[in-house]
Amino acid sequence: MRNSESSKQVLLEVRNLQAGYEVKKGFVGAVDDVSFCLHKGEFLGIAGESGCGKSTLAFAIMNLLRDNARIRSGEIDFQGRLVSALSGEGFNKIRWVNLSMVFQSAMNALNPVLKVGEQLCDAIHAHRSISAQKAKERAQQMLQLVDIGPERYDSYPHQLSGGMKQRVMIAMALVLEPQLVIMDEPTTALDVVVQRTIIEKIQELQQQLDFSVIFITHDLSLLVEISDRLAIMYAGKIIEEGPAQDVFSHPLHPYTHGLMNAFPSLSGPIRRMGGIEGKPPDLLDPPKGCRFFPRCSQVMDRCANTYPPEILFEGDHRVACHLYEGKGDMQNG
Amino acid sequence: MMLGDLWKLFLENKKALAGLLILLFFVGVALFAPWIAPYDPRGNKLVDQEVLEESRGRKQTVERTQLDEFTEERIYDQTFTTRTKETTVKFPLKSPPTSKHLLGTTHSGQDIFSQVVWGTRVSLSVGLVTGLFTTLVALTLALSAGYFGGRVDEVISLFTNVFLVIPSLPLMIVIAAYITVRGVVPIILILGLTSWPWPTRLLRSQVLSLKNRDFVRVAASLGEKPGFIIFREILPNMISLVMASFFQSTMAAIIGEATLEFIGLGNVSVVSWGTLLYWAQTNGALLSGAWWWFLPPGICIALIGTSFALMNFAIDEISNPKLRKR
Repeated sequence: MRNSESSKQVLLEVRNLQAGYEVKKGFVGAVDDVSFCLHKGEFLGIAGESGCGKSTLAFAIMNLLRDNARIRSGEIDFQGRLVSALSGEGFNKIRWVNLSMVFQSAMNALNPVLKVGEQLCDAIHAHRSISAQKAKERAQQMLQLVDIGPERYDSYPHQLSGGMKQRVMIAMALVLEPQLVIMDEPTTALDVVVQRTIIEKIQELQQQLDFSVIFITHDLSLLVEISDRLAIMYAGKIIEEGPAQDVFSHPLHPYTHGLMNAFPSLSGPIRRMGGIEGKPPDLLDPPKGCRFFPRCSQVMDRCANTYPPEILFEGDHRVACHLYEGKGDMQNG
Repeated sequence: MMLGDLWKLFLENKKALAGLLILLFFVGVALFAPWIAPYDPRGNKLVDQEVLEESRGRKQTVERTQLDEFTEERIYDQTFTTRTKETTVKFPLKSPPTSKHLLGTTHSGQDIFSQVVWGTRVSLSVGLVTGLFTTLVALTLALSAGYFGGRVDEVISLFTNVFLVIPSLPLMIVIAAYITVRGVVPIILILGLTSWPWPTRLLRSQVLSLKNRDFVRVAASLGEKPGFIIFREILPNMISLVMASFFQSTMAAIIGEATLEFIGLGNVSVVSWGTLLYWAQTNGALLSGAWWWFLPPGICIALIGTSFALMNFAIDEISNPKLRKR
């Protein structure tokens, strides 16, 4: 884990983003009023249970929302540019060049009839006009970077293991040297041992190439170990965000407490697992107040009616919960 | 390089090789028909002319002109007499196979073997041209409908569905009966017009499915252009289906052509496997058990079908790297 430098440059800023899915019954606010900041070279982990809007958030940032999904309001700044206002055509110019993505299922993200090397070359050629020879060299270099021998250039996807395919996808995301890579559950389909090697590879590459990462997963114990900062999402909202160690050792939100009890740590002591009763709310019609109040163990009267304000603690650790009203180190404006 | 690989794989695969050899055999027969067929497929006799004697009469000068001091011009009249022997051998009518007529003769004495050989030309070219035409039309429509979706898809699907519910054989017959021009080109048009809906529908659904696969989405988010996505990401994944529908439409066209000819809606003076069957039928070959007349065209059609089926097996293995033997 790297310590935060004093003057970090802001790479990505998301302000009051609302995104979701238009359905017959209304609007499913999968991402509701989400704001966060990502600095250069930072590793931000976003955790939350299935359906809490993590992936929607990622796709909204990448401008890849499809079909009935759309951004309702809010702004996304990338490198000081308001990218949420860009047209599809305009975004095509920066997608993959400046920010890229590793998708959830590497198994299906590679074209089965094309050699993996060719697919890397296609990615290069989509944005750079360089000779086929140069592209091939670059592709082989990228494969080597993710510990895949250059002789694998001529392999078809089915000849690679799941972990190798995921590493190829990581190489694919890095091939144009973007400043930001969004990883949407890149290790979900893999077993723990392979997960470990992939995570280590990502960290190593991040140090080597100095890009920022948004790492999305439901595996909290994994995130705690690799992230600089950690954001916890619940029902479309970021309910707590802060330095990973802080959030891990002093979880503030009752939901974060529950989550920390629900996952065994990779390296921590063995203890009895707790859980959170109930299930997340219907995003079509979310509770008026705090989204978590029906399941909260420390619920108060106002929880049901007013959404809690964001309270900022020391070390840039913020939480949205009525429990901490008036207790914050700084009042959030 | 891709094509070279494909070719090598084709040759390594025994099934494919067998299919290819059968097809090449028929293509060879079609191309070299004039040299393979012993007789004219329409003639019912062999006419042999032999010059026995030639004699010239005397030259007679008719006119003489002095052009200038050195040049003189004369015009002669001369007669030639030729004695020619012409032998006409009439072919037997409805003859069973003999050494002279390998597959016997028709009711009017035409050599059936020569007809089968020449018929290959028409049947095969109608089949291949129609098959190619149908597949191209179907593929274009399927790719546009499947990839672009929306309005494009709605319009194309509407027409496809309308044509799908019209049974194609009766439609073929009706159109053929109304067209006054008899010949091969109208038959190709009729067959092409009635055979595109099925492959279009089949291919469209595959395009739709492929378009929503993750790798196509990745390609799109990578910033690849629609043309690139269609032809590099989607099309190679459905080659086996495209080839299968090509073989299928070609086969359907060969059979369709034979059907139209058989019921007399084609041009009965064209020599093809279909007209062969037509004449065999109208002259009671089936009743008299003249197998040498009605069996050969049927066997040829069946063999072409076998060839396509064999190649079809192989195309699957060839276009899908997963099925390739290492």
